[in-house]
Amino acid sequence: MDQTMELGFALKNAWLILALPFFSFLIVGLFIRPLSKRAAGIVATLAIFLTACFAYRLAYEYFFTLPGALEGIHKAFVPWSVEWLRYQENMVVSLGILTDPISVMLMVVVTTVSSLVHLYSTGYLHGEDGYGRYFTYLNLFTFSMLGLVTAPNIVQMFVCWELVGASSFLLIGYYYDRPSAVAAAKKAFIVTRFADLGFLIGMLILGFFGFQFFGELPASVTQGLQPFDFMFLTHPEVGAKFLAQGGSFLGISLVTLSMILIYMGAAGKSAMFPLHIWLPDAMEGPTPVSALIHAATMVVAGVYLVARMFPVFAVSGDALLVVAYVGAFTCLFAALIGCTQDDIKRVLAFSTLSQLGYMMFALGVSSFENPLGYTASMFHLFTHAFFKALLFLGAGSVIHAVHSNSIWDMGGLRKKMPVTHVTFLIATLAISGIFPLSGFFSKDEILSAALESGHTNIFVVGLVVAGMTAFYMSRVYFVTFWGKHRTEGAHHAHESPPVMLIPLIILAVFSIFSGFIPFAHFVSLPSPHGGEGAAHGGIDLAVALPSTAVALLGIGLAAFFYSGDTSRIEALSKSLGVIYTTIKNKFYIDEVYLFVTHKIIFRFIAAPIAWFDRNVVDGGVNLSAWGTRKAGSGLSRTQTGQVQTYGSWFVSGVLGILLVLWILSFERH
Amino acid sequence: MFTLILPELIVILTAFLILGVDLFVSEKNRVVLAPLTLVGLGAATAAIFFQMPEAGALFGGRFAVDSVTWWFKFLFILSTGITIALSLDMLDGRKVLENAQTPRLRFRGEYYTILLFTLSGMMFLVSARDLITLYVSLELATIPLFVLASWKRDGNAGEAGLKYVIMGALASALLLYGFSLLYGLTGQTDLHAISQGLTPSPLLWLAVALIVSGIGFKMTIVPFHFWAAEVYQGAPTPITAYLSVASKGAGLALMFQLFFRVFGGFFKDWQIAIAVFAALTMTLGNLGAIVQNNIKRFMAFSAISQAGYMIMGFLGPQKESIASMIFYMWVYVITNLAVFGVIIFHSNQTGKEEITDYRGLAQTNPLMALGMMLGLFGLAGIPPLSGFVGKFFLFSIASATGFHWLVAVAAVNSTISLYYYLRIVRQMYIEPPAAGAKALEVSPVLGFTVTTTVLASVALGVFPFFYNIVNAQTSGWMSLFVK
Repeated sequence: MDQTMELGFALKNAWLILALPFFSFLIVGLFIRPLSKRAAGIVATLAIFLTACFAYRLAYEYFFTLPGALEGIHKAFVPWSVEWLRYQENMVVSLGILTDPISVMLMVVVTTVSSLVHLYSTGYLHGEDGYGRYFTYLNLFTFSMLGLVTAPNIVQMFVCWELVGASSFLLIGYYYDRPSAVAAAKKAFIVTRFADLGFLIGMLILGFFGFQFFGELPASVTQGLQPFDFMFLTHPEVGAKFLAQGGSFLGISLVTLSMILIYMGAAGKSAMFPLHIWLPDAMEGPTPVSALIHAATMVVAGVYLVARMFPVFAVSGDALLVVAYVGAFTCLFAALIGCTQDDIKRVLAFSTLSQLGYMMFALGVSSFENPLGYTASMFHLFTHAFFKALLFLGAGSVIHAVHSNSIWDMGGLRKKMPVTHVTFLIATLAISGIFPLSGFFSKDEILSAALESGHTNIFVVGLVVAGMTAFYMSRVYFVTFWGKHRTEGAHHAHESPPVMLIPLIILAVFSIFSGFIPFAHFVSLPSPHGGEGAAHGGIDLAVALPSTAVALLGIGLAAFFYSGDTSRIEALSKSLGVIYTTIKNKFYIDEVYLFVTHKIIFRFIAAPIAWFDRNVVDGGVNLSAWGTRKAGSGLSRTQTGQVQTYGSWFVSGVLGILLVLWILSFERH
Repeated sequence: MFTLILPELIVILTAFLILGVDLFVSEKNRVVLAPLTLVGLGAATAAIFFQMPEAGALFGGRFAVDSVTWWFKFLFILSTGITIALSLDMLDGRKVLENAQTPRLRFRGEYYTILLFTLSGMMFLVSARDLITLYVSLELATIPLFVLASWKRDGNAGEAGLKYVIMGALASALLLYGFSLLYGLTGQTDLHAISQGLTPSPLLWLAVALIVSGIGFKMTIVPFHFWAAEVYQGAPTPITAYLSVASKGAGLALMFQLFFRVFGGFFKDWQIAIAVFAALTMTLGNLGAIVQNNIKRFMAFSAISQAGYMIMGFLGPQKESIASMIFYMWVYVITNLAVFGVIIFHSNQTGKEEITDYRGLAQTNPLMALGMMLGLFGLAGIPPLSGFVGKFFLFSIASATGFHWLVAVAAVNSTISLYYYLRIVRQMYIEPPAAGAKALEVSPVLGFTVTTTVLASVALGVFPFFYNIVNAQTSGWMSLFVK
């Protein structure tokens, strides 16, 4: 970055974006929470709204005031950093704020959704015991997520990565008196930690070579950078070095290996198959938490990581293919399960999985030659954050009214909850990809990216899933809001308070209009050759027409089966038999995990080790203690109390020394 | 310069002053003696700190000081001062429990005087530069201790005094034989001249062996340690404390005088023997401590094992040998006296000395229990307490001189010692107090002493200043005397 460049207030004081939520977290958690729960909620919410205003200001400065910004050139730079760890001359790790198009975009998304969720929660959790604790955790999460997004190097990213995992654990287990919530929190933590092991190993491999190359590359490349900085690791010269380096492990080149391991971490966080099992269970947390963490922000961290490291993934190539196919598979797989679930939040959870699959395969199919997928993925991340958060908050509003999660306990709510109904409908149409709502534009871009890059099979999957998405979302919509009330709870349901409706309305506005943002102008793949990539925006009719057609087909099917009486769908699911039950039981993936862990790992590995520990190790320790005591009591017999004995020991001691010294001196002289 | 001997002169003058004042004041007013003694010790300490680290000689080179001597003298005065603070309650009769078992110690004036005499003996010992002065100062340091050990005049005290005298006489005799052999071999009494004139011969090894027994007696090196258990148990507890720190320090000073000044040229011949002694002493001391039930006997064995660590500083001439030794001595003096402070407090209050009598101390007096725990952990060497730092430096000497096996033995021994120190902590913190136990009150003097020593023991470990200053002053010494 040019040193003489004039920075605006927000860029100059970029540290505030982390400091605001962090100090709010400390102050609310330590001082305000014990005094007043209400005040804790208000202060925490205000702090995040302030952070959001700051993020908007920062985004404005970054995208509109920097030189060249209006021509669409957005350079990455670090406006603020402090040295954190210094091991050697070159081996330095800083804490700082990285601003580049995707980090600024995510700052906006995270603070927007987080502040709205804070506001919504003040109504949703009203009167609960853990109110103050909840807002403390929520602030901690926001801080960690912003730290992750703004990380200029992979070490800070990893630290915040674990922090979001920890705060997610705390929030899923918010109702810690409920065994299922505790189990879900544990499951989420263990599964993502397991995936992070891969991240850590990959990071070590990558960091090892990065550090080596750092010393070898000329100062023009390493100027102002540190070996673990993303700006260094994704530098084209470093990529060239990786290719030239050529070492391999089990036939996989080391760069591919490290990127696949890093992708393992990303897949854990973004719940890609087969590490997706924690996300549906994570719905045990309060619904606003699901909206914030498990729909809009934390789960996209994996997508963000892949985007952040994209140039290195591109160097590997094979790793990118893994990203594409795992993404596409998850996309289809989760959509299938989504069609059969009855819990409204679980449907949304599988829908999130499926949409994350879209984002992942969009990254996977892009390359420096076809950079559209990168923009499309980030675009979908952006729009999805809003409509998915809206869906969750809408679902929360319904659950709040009906006191049940099952869609079959609802029904006929469109008259009783008009605002919730309209906003939910907007979000449903947005996720289904109906023009002119935001989902249409981003999904369209992803599908054309897949088609243009020549991955026709992935394009077909994407198209089919678009129809399925429309189907399962419309199914939820029709069952919940149409027909007649099926339970007493649904009968007595009434609209939520304004603090909950305002966020719904704001998010609905975002869901409608965010598609019109000329996204490629702001976010596009930085070309390795200096200039900006030639990603184009706009609507590709060859893709838009079929995708709209399948979406309408999906909605039509859902309306046919679910809008009135449901005997038709019962007949259909009966006729599908085993296939239906398999899908409904999520392909028994959880059962497979349980079998592997309990029946195989616990029984054949853990149990023998525990036996060894209890008998051999502990036995050895006890034996040595026993021996020592015996030796002690044996020796105490020499303490006879007789001066004669002591005197004899004295004299024999002298003789002993004489002998030792004499013998030693024979050897030496 | 005359001022070089000033600390010794102050100590001796104070001793006679106390004896004189004691004659002319009534029993009630003898309370003033202790402050008087402490003022004298303070003056002597000031005289040391003002001259440190100056070097020089008096009386034709028979009395000399150098950077190392000052530190030893400081440690002797420090232990004597704390010991007097620990004795105050017993001498002045300020015991809270009226019917306590331990009778009040009598003859305050003589008690302080004799303590000061043995202190002056130790101080001369470390300044002596010829065999005769060395021997006389050693006797001056030892004989008053026989008297102090049997101060209580009951059965146990008699046994302690008698055993101590007999074993002390044996040790002195053997040491004197060793000295006369040295004189016979070289025809010199000056330590430096002897070290120049020595050549390896079987007779020299015999002299070394005899001298080692004398040192081993003072320092309680295995197998010259047997007297310690009974003497420690029978002596008044403050004197037990004194024996475990000052008398041991005198042994260390004697060993330093002889092994670095006289036999320094032959360290390759004796270093293995030292390593074996260190291993034997720490192991047997530790094993002995495990099975003790009386807290004073227990501390005797703990002190024996500590002596094993201390002589690790003699394994070879390293730049840091002296500094690590003196630093460890300093840490040991403070930590061990802190523990003894609590023991004295406890026996003053309850009259009991068994380990199981400490049950529930955390409830009957939480602060003293905390002090005791910190002191015991310091002795065991748990970071960040100073005992850990001290042991670390000594172990590094062993490792630098190539005795890695000894480091392993020492580490295992530290673990064993942790076990038996934890036995007491367990009694204090986990076991409930005995039925009907009342809260124990602590007298201001003991409370202050224990608090200060515990804090100092933590500070020595946390702030590198103390080790650095010892090291800065003494590291030049080795290059002068050891080739």
